[in-house]
Amino acid sequence: MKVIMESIDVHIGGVKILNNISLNVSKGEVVGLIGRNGAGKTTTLNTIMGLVRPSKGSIYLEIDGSKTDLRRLKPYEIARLGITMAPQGRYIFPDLTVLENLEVAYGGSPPEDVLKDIFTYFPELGKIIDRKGIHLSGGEQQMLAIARALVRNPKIILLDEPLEGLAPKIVVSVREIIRRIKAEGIGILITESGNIKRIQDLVDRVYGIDRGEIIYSGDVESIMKDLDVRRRIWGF
Amino acid sequence: MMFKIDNELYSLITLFIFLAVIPQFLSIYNVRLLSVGLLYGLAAVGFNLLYGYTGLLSFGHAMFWSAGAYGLAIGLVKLNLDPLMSILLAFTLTFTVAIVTGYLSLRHTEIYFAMLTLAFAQLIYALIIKLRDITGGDEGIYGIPRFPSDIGGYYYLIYIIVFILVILAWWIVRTPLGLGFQAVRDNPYRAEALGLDVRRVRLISFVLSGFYLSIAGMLYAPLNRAITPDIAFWTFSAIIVIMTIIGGSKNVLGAFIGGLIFIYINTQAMNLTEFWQLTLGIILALLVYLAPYGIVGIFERVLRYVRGG
Repeated sequence: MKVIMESIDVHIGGVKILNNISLNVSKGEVVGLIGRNGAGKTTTLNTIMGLVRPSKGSIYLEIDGSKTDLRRLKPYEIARLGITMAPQGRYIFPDLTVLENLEVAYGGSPPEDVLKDIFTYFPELGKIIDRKGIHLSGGEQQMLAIARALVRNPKIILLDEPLEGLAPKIVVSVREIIRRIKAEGIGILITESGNIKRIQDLVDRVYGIDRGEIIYSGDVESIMKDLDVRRRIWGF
Repeated sequence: MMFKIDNELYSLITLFIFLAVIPQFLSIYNVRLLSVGLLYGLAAVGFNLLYGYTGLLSFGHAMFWSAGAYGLAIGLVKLNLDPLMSILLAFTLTFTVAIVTGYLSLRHTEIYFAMLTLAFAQLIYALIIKLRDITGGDEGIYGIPRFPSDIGGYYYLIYIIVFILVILAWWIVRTPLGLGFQAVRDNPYRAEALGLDVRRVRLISFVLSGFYLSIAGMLYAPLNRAITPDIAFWTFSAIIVIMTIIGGSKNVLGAFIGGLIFIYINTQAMNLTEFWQLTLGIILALLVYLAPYGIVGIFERVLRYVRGG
């Protein structure tokens, strides 16, 4: 199972946000998308989810050689195909409890075994299932955002800056969760804007993105050695 | 599926116990007033499924009240159908109105949705005026039979139906469907990315909400024994919005209380002065200004204060 973006252009309000983006992520691998703020990382993820419509190019979900055109599908249909997203800013439903947030994501009451799996990943959430989203800490919100993306048993999960704004202790927990998701064979596309070291040991390969264009594709060690890419992404 | 019996349900049941007992101590006039209060409460609860829970402000919900009332009245009086067939006619009319207007209105949200619902409601109002042979035009329909015929007995028929539907609403908002309403209200884009068909969820909420109003209208027509087109006019849609906001749109209890007491605020304002609309306007403005979460919000604040929260 593989998500493939080919030559994608995205315009928002007449401005070209993504320019000829091509990338792919397969089930069982962790792929990083590295770029500074405003480079187009979130738009790339939103485009895969169908939240933003591309003006050019194609996006496919390839399963056993057969391709499904994701451009034709609505976001909820894409989610039901097994591609889910934990957005930046988390967007937890504030008036719903932890359990209710999971129920919305599952599309009903998740069976006991599904909940057990989720709370094995996130034991902290298991202790606060009746707490409303509005009362969760930043770390708890991030965990719930990832849990919501996991509850549908996805094949590919899109994590938009999951480590951003978290306390160092929580970063350790979330990194551990990402490792365990990878071990389950779920494909992950993870974005990171600032500190590549936070995901260096998690990813199998990375894309570098700047001003809506892919400027690097390869392994994570080489991106640090490419002076032009380093300058464009990190400014040094 | 498990549901926790929460404070809201306790409050609702306490309120309904009070509403079961209180008519024994009231005059016929006040029992009739309370009957209208129950129906307004039901209407507000139904409206709030769409407004408070799904985040869509409709300015045209009078069309559902009138679809129910006119559907039943036409069946009973104009077509001489039996009560069951008349109810079926009213439901069919409501469903048709809800599906057509919902499908067309829900292509938009926010003010555009509100304006579209207002436009459709006014269209229904115009149809009621123009289709004189069926609807009685601006004179309406009179002589609608009531069973039981006495106000006291009919109050308890209204009471039972309203009780069931209000508790049903409390339950619905806690089901995955109701949680979906709230997810769509809070963030439709994220809800869709999580797998919710937002348009379908909104349409279900719209139709369900319409049915609540329709049933209230169906019960109102025999209570009043007559209906006139003013129940389809936009001002009645505004009243539905106002009473929901007065009570509080955060939960079922708030909306129900808003509807229940609106009729008393309205009647008292009319008794106090000939400038009752001005008085009512001032009361409403003060309530909205001082209690943005409605009367139930005030109670919650007081309760928090008492508990030292």
